[in-house]
Amino acid sequence: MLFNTLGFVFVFLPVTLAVFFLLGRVQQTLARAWLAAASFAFYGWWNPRYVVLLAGSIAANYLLAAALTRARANRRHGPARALLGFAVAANLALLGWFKYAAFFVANLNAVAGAGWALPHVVLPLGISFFTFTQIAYLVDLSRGEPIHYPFIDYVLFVTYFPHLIAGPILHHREMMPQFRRDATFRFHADRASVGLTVFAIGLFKKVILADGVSRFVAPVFDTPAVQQLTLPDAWAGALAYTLQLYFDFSAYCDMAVGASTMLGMSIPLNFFSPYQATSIIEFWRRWHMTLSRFLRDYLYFPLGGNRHGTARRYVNLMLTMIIGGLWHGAAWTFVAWGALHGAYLCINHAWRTLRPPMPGAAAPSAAGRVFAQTLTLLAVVVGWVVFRAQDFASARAILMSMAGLRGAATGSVVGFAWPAVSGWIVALMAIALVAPNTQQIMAERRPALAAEPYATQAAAPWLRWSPNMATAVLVGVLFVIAVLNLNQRSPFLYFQF
Amino acid sequence: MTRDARYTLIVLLLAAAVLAPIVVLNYVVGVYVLTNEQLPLLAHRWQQDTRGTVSVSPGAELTFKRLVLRDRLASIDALVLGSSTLATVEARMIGPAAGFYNFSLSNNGSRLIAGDADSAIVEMPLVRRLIVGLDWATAQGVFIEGDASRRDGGLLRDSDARPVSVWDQLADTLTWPRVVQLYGLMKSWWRGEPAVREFRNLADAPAYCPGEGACPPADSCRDFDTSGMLRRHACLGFRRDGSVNGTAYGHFARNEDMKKLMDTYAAFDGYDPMMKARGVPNRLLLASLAASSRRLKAQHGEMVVVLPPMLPHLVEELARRPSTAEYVTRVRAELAQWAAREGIHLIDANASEAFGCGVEDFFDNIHAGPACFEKVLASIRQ
Repeated sequence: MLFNTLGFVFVFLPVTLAVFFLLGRVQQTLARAWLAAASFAFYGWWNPRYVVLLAGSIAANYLLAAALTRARANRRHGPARALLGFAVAANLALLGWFKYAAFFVANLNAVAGAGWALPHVVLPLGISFFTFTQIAYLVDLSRGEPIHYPFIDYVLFVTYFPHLIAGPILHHREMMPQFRRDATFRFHADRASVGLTVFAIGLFKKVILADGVSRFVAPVFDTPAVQQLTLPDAWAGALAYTLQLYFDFSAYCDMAVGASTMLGMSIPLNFFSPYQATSIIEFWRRWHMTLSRFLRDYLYFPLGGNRHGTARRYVNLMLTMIIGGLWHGAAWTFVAWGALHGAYLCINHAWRTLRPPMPGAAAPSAAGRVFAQTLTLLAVVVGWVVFRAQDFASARAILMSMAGLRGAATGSVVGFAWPAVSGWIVALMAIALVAPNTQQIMAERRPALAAEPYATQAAAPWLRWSPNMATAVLVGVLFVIAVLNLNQRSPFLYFQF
Repeated sequence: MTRDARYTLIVLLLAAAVLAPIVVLNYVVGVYVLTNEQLPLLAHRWQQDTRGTVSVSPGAELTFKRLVLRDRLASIDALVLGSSTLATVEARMIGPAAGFYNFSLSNNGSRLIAGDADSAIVEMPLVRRLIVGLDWATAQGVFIEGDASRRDGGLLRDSDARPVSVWDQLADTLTWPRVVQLYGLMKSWWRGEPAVREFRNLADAPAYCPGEGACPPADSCRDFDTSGMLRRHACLGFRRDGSVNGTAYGHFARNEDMKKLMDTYAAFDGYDPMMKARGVPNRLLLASLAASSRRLKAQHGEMVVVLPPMLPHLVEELARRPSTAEYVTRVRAELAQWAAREGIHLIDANASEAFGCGVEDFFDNIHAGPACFEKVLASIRQ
């Protein structure tokens, strides 16, 4: 089930909330069980068969965690390490089969000239998220943290529906205490108002803004005329995709935070105006923040981080980002995108090493900030072209057109009407670059779990949310507009005849 | 009550105040059309008695056409299967067929059309000619994804038709086109226009007749459609042979600004599936149709595949534009090669100008009127 469906908005969410708070008054365990069951239903809505996979993964990991806990309690470190190695390998094998088997066989066929049939595997939704969540838990357990939780809490932690399909990647230390807090199980109007607002903003972003600008993406990236794109065509497509991705992900994060806040629980902040970043390092602290955190804590640090010299640090950075790229999808373009960002990060770190900020130096000027922000955004846009392109040839063609290496023709080979295209891009870019984000607008209530410096940043006072009549009307209107645009087609109404 | 509680209540009440009337009013309109099993039956009986034209709602279209077909199962020897792009094909265009029926349906998909072709050969012993429309400029055309083999079935069999659930109806009430329609209805009501007055009488008079005067000469017409109420008096609907009477639809003018039309329709979203599939039609779909064709041939019949006419010079324009040229050329070539390989009679009418169709014969880019089909199907009549 997706957040932007009528079924979720008008049936699943209200029913889940109502029953959760009702059961919470009777017995908290029942309420937790209900939430876990609802999360399974949420997941199974897409394909009931994969509920078995999710349940199996949870059960197996819970049993492995129990065995790991026993081994550590008995100070049997060798078996504990072996158990952890097996558990991580099993999780990665599951992920590998569903996500990368076809990619692996296709590459093997290409390299070895073998004619093996590609396995027809449907990628289960959210498998990366529930796998990573559980790997982090097992690793922490093996490090000696006394964190073996009751089964129902563990099930809820893995399946908790606001995060299940597209993140954020939850950490047990953030969530488990909330599952046991008395206040979670009581309805609070202040949480309902904040959750509803954040959810409505997210829904509007997704349905109106992200889906609105998406119409300019496929004509550029999927056209057979990719080699003949004009300079404005290529820029329009690249910027439209940059914005589609931004508003889509931002919207999903908002809706996840909103739904969770209504349930009385805070999930980690995952998105914080990344296009306002003034460096690539900062970009990755603002974009998919929980993935960056996971990769840092469970990949970059175990690889050695920056503890073994500069060269090793850059190798570790590259490896982490390449694996992070592959995590996004099974294609070489994702690997290249990861490598590109790895290279960006290496350059950024090298620059900071060469030009460290002077103690007591003045803050960068406005012009300096604009330059840094523009340069960062440009690097990110180039990365998104590689990320979205069908193949390397298409990416190269689009980038060449963007660089003006295919001439400076100003027309459009994909039939763009420039007033509409430029209107959308300018308006959305202005929001992404200048406007405060949902977390800043809602700063007084802090709906998501955030660390500094993002936890306390707030919008200008006149843009800050407060529960008054004008805001209620505005949010109500946004919500209604979004709902009425969820489905642009009626299956029961003629369009032509 | 706290400020937050009041705020939450206002947001929810505002949303409810706007959405609830839309849901209720659209549901009332929709439920009457979609769940009233009597309407298609009444429409069918009336047509049997009068041989006239009936207007039924999109939701009742399948039931209505199936009822007609069932009645004539034993006498049908020529059947049209396709989407709305073949809706204006009439019996007289095919030649001396004793029993002709146009079973084309709005938004019909290629997967269902292939299933229907298979069913028709089994269930209609007299069928000797199947005219199958294959679209590549619609969402449900030859680029459908996944397994399109015949086990997907079709619409001719009762078991394959999914009933319209209450949830489907409720979800439909909030779709943008239904909201726009409701807005039109409300505007009409505000102005005191007759369509709404008639709507108020629906409960008492389920079948509304706009009067013989509204129909083309020698064609009686009756309206069993409530969702299309704003088009009342237009005498739109299905003739006895299943074809659509589109007389009242707006045609393009003979002197239309062709450059503007080309620019408009070169960017049509119906090409999206083609772009995604890079112009390669679904192989299983074609294999399924080829198998049906072979079976029909064994029964001394023939399958004719029609690539429906498109606005004159539009295909030429699409084949010229770099953004579509490769895929348009590929899909047409692939379909032509497939038909030649399987010995299937293919009429590629996409470039309708080659058949003498004019812009004035079209309602839009992919829907041609009868004047064009008469020319396109001339080869069948001979």
